[in-house]
Amino acid sequence: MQNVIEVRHLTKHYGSLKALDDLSFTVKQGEILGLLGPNGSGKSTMISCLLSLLQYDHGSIQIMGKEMSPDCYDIKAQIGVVFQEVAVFEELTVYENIDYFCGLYIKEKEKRKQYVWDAIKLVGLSEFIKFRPKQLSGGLLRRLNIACGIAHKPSLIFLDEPTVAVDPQSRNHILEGIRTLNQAGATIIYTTHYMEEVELICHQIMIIDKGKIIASGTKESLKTLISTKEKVTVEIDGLKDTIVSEIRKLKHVEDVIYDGEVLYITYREGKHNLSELIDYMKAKKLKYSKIFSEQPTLNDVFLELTGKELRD
Amino acid sequence: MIVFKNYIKIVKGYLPMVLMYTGIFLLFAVIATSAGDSTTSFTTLKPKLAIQNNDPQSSFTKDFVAYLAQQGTIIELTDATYAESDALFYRKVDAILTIPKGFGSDFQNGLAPKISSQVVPDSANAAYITMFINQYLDACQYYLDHGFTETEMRQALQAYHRVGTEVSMLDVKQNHLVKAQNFYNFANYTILATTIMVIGLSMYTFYHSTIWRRNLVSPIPISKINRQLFLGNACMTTIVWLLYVVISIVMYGDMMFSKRGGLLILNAFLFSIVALSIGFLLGILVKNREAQSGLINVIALGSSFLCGAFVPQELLSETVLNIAHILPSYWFVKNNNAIVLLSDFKGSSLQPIVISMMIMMGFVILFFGLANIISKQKLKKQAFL
Repeated sequence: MQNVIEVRHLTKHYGSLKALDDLSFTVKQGEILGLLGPNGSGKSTMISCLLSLLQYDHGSIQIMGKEMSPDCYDIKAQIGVVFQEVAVFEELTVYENIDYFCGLYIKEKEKRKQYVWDAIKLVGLSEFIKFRPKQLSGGLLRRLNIACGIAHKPSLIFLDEPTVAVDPQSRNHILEGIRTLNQAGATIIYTTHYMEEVELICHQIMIIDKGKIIASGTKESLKTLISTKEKVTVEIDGLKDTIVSEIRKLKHVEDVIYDGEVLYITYREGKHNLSELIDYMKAKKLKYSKIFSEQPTLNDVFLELTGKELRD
Repeated sequence: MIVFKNYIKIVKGYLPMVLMYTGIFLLFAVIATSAGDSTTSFTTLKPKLAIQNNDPQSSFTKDFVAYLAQQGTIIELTDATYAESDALFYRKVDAILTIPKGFGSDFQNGLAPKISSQVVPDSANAAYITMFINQYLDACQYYLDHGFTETEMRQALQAYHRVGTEVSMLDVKQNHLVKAQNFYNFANYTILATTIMVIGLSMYTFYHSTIWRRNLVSPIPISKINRQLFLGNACMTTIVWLLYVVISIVMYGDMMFSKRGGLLILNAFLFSIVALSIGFLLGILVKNREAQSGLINVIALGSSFLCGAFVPQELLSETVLNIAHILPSYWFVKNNNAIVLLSDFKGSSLQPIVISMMIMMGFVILFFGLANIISKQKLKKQAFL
């Protein structure tokens, strides 16, 4: 597949602070790239550089095969941007807002009208077209923000945390909409704090911290990067230290934590870890109220790679 | 022209506010400029006086009393002190004069006899009476000092008093010119308030960082967006100015098509451009909508009071007027006043008006220049350049 974005050795400083440190990556046509990173990691700076909103110190950015610059209007015409901050006119209605932002790209009236309605339907705002932004809830406002950014049917879309502070219903609508756009052929760069969203919709994931790409790949390949392969949680009271020590010595066990009520066991690798643990507990006549196994999540990947929670 | 069309849509939202300002302005303008409309003739004010004449036989005194009767209205009072006090208390008369016995002969012999008087305290009419008496007696003394006989003096006095001040009322056209001057002076406030409000708030909306960023990533060059915004601003300023021009034509008719009327309209147009530049600067400078609304009122009201839009400049202190020199409203109001007083339209007469107009344009360059510098700094700070 063709590369829609090609970034080579992108470096950007804010004074003495290195905001982007020699970033190189590509995004293929039709992909959804999830961009993960804690606050201040350089995600927004990178997007601003890609959109030519910011000058960078070194490197090159090619979008759709062309060097990106502020006056690349033919490239800009194919890009849709949904910024994290809601950018709409308070004085205009929902319809008028979408019509304006779509009108920056589409001149033909009839075509624009059709596109505006498509965007309204996509984000589920049909009942609110005559409302002004102040009359909308936070979730509906976010949907409007998205509609304004994608109404002109761009082939490359940047979505910067579009689901922040959004109710579950609106979030589902937004995610469904993003999938629809992708199925229609759009390449999407998706920045978020929500791991489950990335797991749900992204084909590729890139984790950035301190201006560097610390990992990238599919969610499956990222999970192979960390030592934890399985986590087992057991709700059990009054476990003796000797038992905890014995469990620690079981096959594939990496770590055991017991807080007096819940036992957390992490496994390096292996199969049937849960059944073997149950067998051991039966043999020791240990009674537990609940036991379950989990595969590592992207959150575990993020935690292990960056040493901090995503929302830190 | 999507940006221009959107600008007009946004500005439409401010229309009720513009109409409200204009409505209130009109109400005040009509009330203020129609005061005294019913005055069509002039009558000399005549104070009322009572005279206790103790020298009725003297021809000099007779002439003197006749003169007083000509200047004021003589009221007959009964001879009781009680009646005199009542007359003064109830303002039946403004003064009661008592002419002493032998007043005529004593005056002609240079003995300077005194006329005793009782007057209503702090009464302007009573002061007039004193003034009339002094004028008459001073004139008599002058003639006597220069050797006039009694007959010659009487003739000279009669000839002197036949000459009166002729008073003619301003014609309606002249009256409309003064009213138009007041109208445009008052309009200083509303033109400033409405133009700054509309331009400032719409500029604030378009130059808000979130909207601006979105425009920056669009395929329309920023220079084109700015051009369309400028066109929108120019249209709005012209509409506000035209609104006031039409109102002035409706209120003052043909006078507005005269040379002076034309100059008043031109002056208002230049001032509207100044208001546009202030609104543009505020839109870029102020980050908060509420703060902007507050500032609009401070600027519009403050400069109207300081520069003589509500109170004539002649009544303002020198210090206030010196401070007002740094405000464009001062030059606008000054020009309105000067245009009405123009005696002809020669270059030398028009020169001060043209200079004031050029100063107003200087303010426009200053405000636009500042706006340009600030906007570039802001964009650099937000790293959008």
